[in-house]
Amino acid sequence: MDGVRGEITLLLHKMGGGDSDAEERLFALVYGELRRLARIYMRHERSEHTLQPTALVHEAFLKLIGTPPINWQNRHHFFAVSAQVMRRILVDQARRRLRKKRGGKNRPISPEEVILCSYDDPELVMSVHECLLRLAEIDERQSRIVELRFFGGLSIEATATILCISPKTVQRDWNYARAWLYGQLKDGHVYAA
Amino acid sequence: MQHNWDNAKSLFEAALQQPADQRPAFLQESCSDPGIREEVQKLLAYHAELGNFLTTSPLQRGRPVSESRGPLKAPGDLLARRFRVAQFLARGGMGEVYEAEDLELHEHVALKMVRSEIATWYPNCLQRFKREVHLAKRVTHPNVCRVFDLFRHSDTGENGDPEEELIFVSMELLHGETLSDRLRRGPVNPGEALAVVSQVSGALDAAHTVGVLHRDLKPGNIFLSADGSRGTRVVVTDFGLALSLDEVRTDPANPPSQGEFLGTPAYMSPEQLLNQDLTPASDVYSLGLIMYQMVTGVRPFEDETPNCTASRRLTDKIPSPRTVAPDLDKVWEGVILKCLERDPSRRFQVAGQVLSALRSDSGPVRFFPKARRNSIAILPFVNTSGNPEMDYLSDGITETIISTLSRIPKMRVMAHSTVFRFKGRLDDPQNIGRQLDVASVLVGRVFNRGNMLKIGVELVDVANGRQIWGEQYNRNFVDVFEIQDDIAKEISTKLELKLSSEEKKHLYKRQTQNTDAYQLYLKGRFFWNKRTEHDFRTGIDFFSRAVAIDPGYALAYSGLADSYTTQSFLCPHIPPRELMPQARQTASKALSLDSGLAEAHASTGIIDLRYDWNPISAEKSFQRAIALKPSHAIAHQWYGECLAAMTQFDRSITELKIAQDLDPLSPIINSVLAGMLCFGGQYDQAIEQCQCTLEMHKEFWLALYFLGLSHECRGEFDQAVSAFQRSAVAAQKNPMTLGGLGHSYARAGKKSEATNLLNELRALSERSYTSPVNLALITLGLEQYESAFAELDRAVNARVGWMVFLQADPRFKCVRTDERFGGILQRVFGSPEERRSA
Repeated sequence: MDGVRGEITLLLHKMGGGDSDAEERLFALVYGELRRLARIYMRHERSEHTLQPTALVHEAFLKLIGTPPINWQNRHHFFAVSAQVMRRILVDQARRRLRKKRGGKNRPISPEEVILCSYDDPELVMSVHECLLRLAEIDERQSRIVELRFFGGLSIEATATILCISPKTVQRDWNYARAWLYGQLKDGHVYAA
Repeated sequence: MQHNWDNAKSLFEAALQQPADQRPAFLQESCSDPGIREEVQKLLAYHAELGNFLTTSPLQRGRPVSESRGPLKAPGDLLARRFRVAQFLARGGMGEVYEAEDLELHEHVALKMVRSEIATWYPNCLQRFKREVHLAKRVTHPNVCRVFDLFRHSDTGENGDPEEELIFVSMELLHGETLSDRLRRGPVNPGEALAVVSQVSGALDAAHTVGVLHRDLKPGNIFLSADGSRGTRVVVTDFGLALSLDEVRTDPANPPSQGEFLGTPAYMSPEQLLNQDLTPASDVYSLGLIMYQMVTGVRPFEDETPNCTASRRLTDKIPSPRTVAPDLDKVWEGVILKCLERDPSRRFQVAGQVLSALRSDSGPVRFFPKARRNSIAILPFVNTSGNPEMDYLSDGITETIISTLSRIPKMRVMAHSTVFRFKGRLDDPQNIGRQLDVASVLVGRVFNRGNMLKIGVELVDVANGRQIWGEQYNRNFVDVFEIQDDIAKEISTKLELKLSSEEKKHLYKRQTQNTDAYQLYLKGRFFWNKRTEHDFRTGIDFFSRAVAIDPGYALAYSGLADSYTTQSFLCPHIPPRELMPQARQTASKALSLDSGLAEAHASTGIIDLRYDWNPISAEKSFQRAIALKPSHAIAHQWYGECLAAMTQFDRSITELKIAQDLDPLSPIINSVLAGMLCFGGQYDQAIEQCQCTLEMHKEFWLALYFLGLSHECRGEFDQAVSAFQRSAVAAQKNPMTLGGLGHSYARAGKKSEATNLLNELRALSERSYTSPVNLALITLGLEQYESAFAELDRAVNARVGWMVFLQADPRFKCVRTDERFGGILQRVFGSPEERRSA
C-alpha cells in the first residue's frame, strides 16, 4: 500500500505539471480502487441507505493516498484530480450506456456499474462533457468551475479555495456558465447518441 | 470572440443586478453592439429557466442498489426442505431477509439469503458466509443476535435442471425496528441512549473477549426489540464483517485492504479508512459516532459536501456534540469525544469503559491523557545540493541529532534504520509520524555552496500537521557543530523537555572540535550503515582517518569497534582472532577517552559476549550503556542476545521488544527477535515474527534463516529446507546459511544433499578459514558425533561468536547429555562453579 501511496503522491505532482501519462495511470489506479469499493458497498450497504458514488470516489482516493495532503497546493490537486476522475468515470459509463441503447453488445452489468450507472441521464452527462470541451477553449476558468461543481460535487466555497478566487467570482462565473450551457443544450447542441 | 465573450459576461452580470423588468432597458442603455445585446438577452432568459440545472452532480444522485428487484421468495415457499417462508422482511446488500418457520424445530426464525448473482461476484462467497456463521457462533451474549446454521438450497427449474444454488443463514428472529429506523424520527433522549450504549457495549465486550471485532457497527446493525417486562432489548446483528483478532494480527501488512471485509464508510474509524490495524478501540469509535448521532440527530460533518465528510473525520478535530445539542450533559460530551479520538490509544480500550464513564457520578470524568508526548522521528535530512557526495553530510547530521536526542531519558527517538527507510520518499511527514506513532516529526534540508552551509528544519506536530517550529540556518562550514547544537536545543525547548543539568551536559557534549575529523566520522557511519563487506572496509578507513586527525575522538573509536564486530559476524570467512582483537582495542580506547559514552559500553559488551563468551560481564556493559542512553536500540538488541545466551528467554524477548519499539523497521532487530523467540521454544511466534520481517524486507537472509530453524523445530522439514535455501540464495551462500541448510537437509532425511554441502564447506575450509560451527551443525544433523565434536573443538579454539548460543540453540539439544558436550561447555563458559561465582 505504501508503494501505491508514494506513487499517487508522485502522480499528483506530475499532473500538476500537465503530464498526461500520469493522468492515465492515476485514473487507472483510482478506478481500480473504486470498483473494489463499489463491490464492498454492494455487499454491505443496506437498502435503506442510498449510495453516493461521489463519496465512493473520494473514499477511493483516501484509501490510495492515506490522508488528504495537508498543504493546500496538494489539496488543490487532490480535489481537482478527483473531479477530473469523476468526470471521466461518468463520461465513460454514459458512453457505454448510450452505445448499448443503440444496440451494442449486451455485456452483463457488473456490481460497480449498478452503483455508477444509478443516474438516469447519460445524454446529459455526454452533452455537458462535450460543451465543456468547447467552453474550455473560450473560458478555461468557467469550465474548471463547472467540472469541480458538477462532476466533483464541490461547494462554491471549496471551488473558490481550489481556484484561489473569491466565492463571489465563482458564483458569478457559475451563473454565467450554467446559462450558457443550458442554452447550448436547449438550442440543439445535445449529444447525439 | 474572446472580447465579445468577456463583454457579454460583464453585461450579463450587471444586468442580473437589475430588477428583472428593468433589464431590457438597462441592456439598451449600456450596450451598443446588437449582437452582444441579443446574446445576453438570450442568456438572461436561459438563466430564468435554470432551476436546478447542473446543481447536483449525477454522482450525488444515488439510489438504493436493488430497488428494482422484487423479493426472490414468496410466502409458502419451502427452502432446503426445512423452512417455510412466512414473509419477506428486508433487503440487504447481499440479498433478502425472510421470516420463516423451521418445520423441524417448530419455531420462527430469520433467514438471511444471498442473491445468486452476488454469489457469482464473490467466488468464495460460501467460505465467507461460513466464516460469518463461525465467528457469530463464538459470541454468545443476550445482546448479540444468535446465529444458528448455514444452509444451501437449489431449486429445480422448469425443465428439471437444477437452478442456481441459494445460500442462507438461519438466525434469531427479532421483532421491532433498527436504530437506523428510530433515528429517522430524530434524536434519542439520554435515558434511551444510555440503554442502547449499555447493551451495545456489553455485546461488543463479549465479542472482543473471544477475539472477534464487529468492524461494521452502525445503526442499521442495531436492533431495538420490544421485550415486554424489561423494556427495550438491544441486539447487535450482522457480524458479517467481523474478522477475528487473530487474523488481524497474523496478517498485519495485508489486513482489510485486499479482502472484502470492510465496514460501512459512514461509521468507519480513521484506522479502518486508512487500512491500518484494527483493535477493539475501532469498534469503540463506531460506537462513539452512533452515540453522537443518537444525542444530536446528526453525524459530525454531515452537512458538508460529501467529498469533505470522510476526509474531515481524518484530519479535523470532531466538533463537540454540544455545538449541535447545547443542552447535552458534559459527561456525555466528554465520553463521546473520547470515543472519537483519532488516535486509537486515546480512546476507551474496552467498550464497557464507555458505560462506566457515563455512569460515573464522581464529578467530571477526566479524559485525554497525553500519551506518547515525548516521542519524535527525525526524518533523514534531504540533500538538495544535487551532489550525491553530500549525502554523507545530510545523513550524518540526521544521525547526530538522533544520537544526541536519544540520550534523553523518557524520550522515545525513532532509531536510524527505521527513519532511513523514509529517505527519498515523498510521503507527507504527518503521515510518516502516524505510521511510526510519534508525537512529532523533524524534517530538514541541507544545501551547501562552497564553504556556505544552509540547513532548513521544520518540526511538525503529528496530531494536527501544524508546524511547531521552523528555522533556517546559514553558516560557514566550520560552524557545523554549532548548527547541530542549535537544532538540538531548539527541538528540546519546543518539546518542553525538562532537562536536568546532567542531561543537558550530555546533550551538548561535543565529541570533537575538529571539523575534518567530524566529517570523516560522518562518512564512516554512512558506509557502516550500508552493511556490506566492501563498505565496512571503506567505513573503517574513514573512522581511522578521523582518529588520526583527532586522537581523542571517542565516538570514532566506537565506530571502529562496531565495524570490526559486525564485520566478524556477517563475514564468517575472516577468523574472529583477526578482527575481534582490533574491535576490543578500539572499544577500550573509546572507553578510556570517554567513560560516559553509551556507544562505547555497548561495543564493549558485544565483544565480551561474542569473543569472550562472558555473558555476565557483557550484561553489565549493556546495562551501563542503556542507563547512559535509554533509547540506544542496538544496546537493547545485543542485551537481548546476551540474555538468550544465558537461557533467560523471557527477559531476552523483553529487551528485544524494547529494541524493536525503538527501531521498528530494523531488519536485524526484527530477525534477532524471531531468532530468540525460536531459541526460547516459541516457534509459532517466531514464524510470525519472521513473516512480518520478510514483509518489510523481502528475502532478508537472517529472517529466512530463523524461519527455517523455527519450521525445523516444529518438524516441518520441507518448509525448513525451502526457507534455508532462500536464505542461502539471499546471502550468496554465506557459510552460516549453508550450515543451517545442511542441518535441515539431514533432519529432513536428505542425507546426500547434506553430505554434499558438508563436503563443499570442508573444501572451503581447506582453502581458507570458515567458521567450524557450520560444519559442526551439518555433522550433528547427520548424527556423525565424532566429527561434530571435532568441529566444535575447532570452533572453541577459533573463538567463534555463535558458540555463546550452545545452550540456547535447539540444534545442540541432541548432544546436551553427552559428556564431550559438557567439556565444550566448560571451555566456553567456564566450570559450573566459576559461572556461579561470577
